[in-house]
Amino acid sequence: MMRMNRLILALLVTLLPVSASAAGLSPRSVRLGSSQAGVSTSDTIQITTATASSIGSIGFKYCTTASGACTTPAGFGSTTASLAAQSGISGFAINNTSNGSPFIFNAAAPAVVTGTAISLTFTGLVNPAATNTTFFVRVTTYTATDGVTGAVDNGTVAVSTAQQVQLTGVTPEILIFCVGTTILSDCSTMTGSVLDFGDFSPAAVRSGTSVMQASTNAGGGYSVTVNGTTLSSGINTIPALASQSISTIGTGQFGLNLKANTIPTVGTNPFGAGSGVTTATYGTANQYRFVTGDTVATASAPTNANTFTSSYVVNIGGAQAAGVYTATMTYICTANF
Amino acid sequence: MKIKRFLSQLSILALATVVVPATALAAEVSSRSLTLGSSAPSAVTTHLYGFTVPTTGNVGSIEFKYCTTASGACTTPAGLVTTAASLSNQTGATGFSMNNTTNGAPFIFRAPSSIPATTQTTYTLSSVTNPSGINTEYWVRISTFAANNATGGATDAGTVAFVTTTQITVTGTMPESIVFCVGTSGTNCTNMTGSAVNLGTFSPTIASTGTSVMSASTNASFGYTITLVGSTMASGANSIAAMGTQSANGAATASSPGTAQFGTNLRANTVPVVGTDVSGPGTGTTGAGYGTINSFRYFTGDTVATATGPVKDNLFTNSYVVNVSPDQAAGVYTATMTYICTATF
Repeated sequence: MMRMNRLILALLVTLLPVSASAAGLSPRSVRLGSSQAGVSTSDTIQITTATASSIGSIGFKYCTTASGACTTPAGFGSTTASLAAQSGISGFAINNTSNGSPFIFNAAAPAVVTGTAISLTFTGLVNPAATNTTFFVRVTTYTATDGVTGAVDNGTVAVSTAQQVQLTGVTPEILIFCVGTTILSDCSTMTGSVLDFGDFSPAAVRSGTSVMQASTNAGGGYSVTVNGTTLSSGINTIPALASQSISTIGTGQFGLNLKANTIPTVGTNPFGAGSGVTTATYGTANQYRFVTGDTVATASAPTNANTFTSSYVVNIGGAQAAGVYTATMTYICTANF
Repeated sequence: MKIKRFLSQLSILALATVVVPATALAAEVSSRSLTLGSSAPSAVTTHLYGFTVPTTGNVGSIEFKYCTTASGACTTPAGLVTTAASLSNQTGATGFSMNNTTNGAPFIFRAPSSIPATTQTTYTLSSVTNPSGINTEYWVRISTFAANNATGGATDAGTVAFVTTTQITVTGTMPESIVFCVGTSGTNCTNMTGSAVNLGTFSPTIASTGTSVMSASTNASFGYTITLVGSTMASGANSIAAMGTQSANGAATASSPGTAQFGTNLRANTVPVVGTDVSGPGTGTTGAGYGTINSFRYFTGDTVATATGPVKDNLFTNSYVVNVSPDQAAGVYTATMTYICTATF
């Protein structure tokens, strides 16, 4: 009878879960390198021991449930896992033979004290295949090196894969160009279309300005041309400056440039965050010119906005026929994508 | 022989006279019941009696005799204890006090006074220890007496039965739990779908926007941390600059059309109009750099949401903002946002 009792007791001891008396690892966490389903990633597992003991091995069982029989999540892979980093303990190597149940071991079975924070980073783990799905990592420390014998502390961590979000947008071909007489900041603030020189005089130069702003993401940048005819009143015209010239009072002249001039005082140099520049023929202070079709500004690459100020000068001779003189300046910006 | 038969008959008659219960002539209390506070064996509990007195007359005491049988000789149930009982409530006929001297036969008493017939009464005896038998039937014989010491012939009587029962222990285990999902539409992880956010055609003059959603809950003692991992929007070698201070969990900045920017936050914004504030019964909160309206940032590895303890579900809306400068190279720009929820148990 006594022998039978001993046998039953022995069986009970054998059948009891190994971890039944194990203490809880806390705090504990598993940080996925990526939460994407099915991707090869790294896991950083952090645990804190509850019991002072020697540790011969630490097992990590990946399961679909937190307790009970363990089913390895579909798609999960640990047979190519490696132990990339360890802190709190040292000298451990990985055994990744059994998929879903890797463990690390150290034949020296170093002793740890209660409250030892251990951090382990594994690479080469393949996440489960299902997205937005919880799975569990059951962590157990053992005194033996086989990842099975002599459970000391344990704890389960819940982890989840997550759907990745794909963001998509299109940057189209962009050309922003505007012309007017007044601008506050960008093309949305551009206004005006009329420039009145007032009464011409053979004894004084008349001047005025218009503005334009250009930007583009064209690979070849842009070029801006000025197009039109010189000031005229019926059949009477004011001669355009066919080449860069200074302003000469008393001589019939109509010309422009894109600079801050002193003779006369008119205009502003180009400004803005872009890389646009004036052309040489319209880029010298106090030198004016007007030839229809001329390129007045360019950018050789994608550029942010630049604001150009067109400075006009008008001189007349004493015999300039009376009348109202007008001209229409048309600026054309061509982007080279 | 005749004399012997006569003596025998006399003997049977005498026995019959002795055996007939004293209550034989008593009327029966009706609508009688005993409600146990607990049916657990040996539990210290309340016994609530209710009954209607059928006979108009003086009542000085009411006895509650606990027995293992409904009639006949009364054996007090094993484990029953009434010597600590008290009368905690009385209705109908009142003014009674408790006498718990005799275990198994407590009675309540008062100066005798009349109770009209059909009076519905209730009496609650507290601190009664149930019998120790499991799933066992017992009886309580209720008797009213004109005397105030439960003696003399019972005026009315009636018996009630009660049963102690096995208590059912229900056990379940709540495992470590984390419920986390990411998508483009839905309110929780049972209906979350989608993975693509089309931000449309970018413009240097107006911000492009879009949203995704995510839901998180856990029973982890130390809550959870959700991090955002990825890279800014790019088209080949061309990219759109990430918003905010480019260091972990740094400062956020405002949307500025015309300036290359890519960023996100988890708020209901007005400039531009995009997003929704966190909702749900949980206590999860947004990360520092992602919780200010109209301020956006993006830096891979940043914490975008946290909970510091066990938390019910929260729905977070990730608002994305894209601005481009006029010189932003044309092309289709993409980025993959990976949200990682780490719970600490």
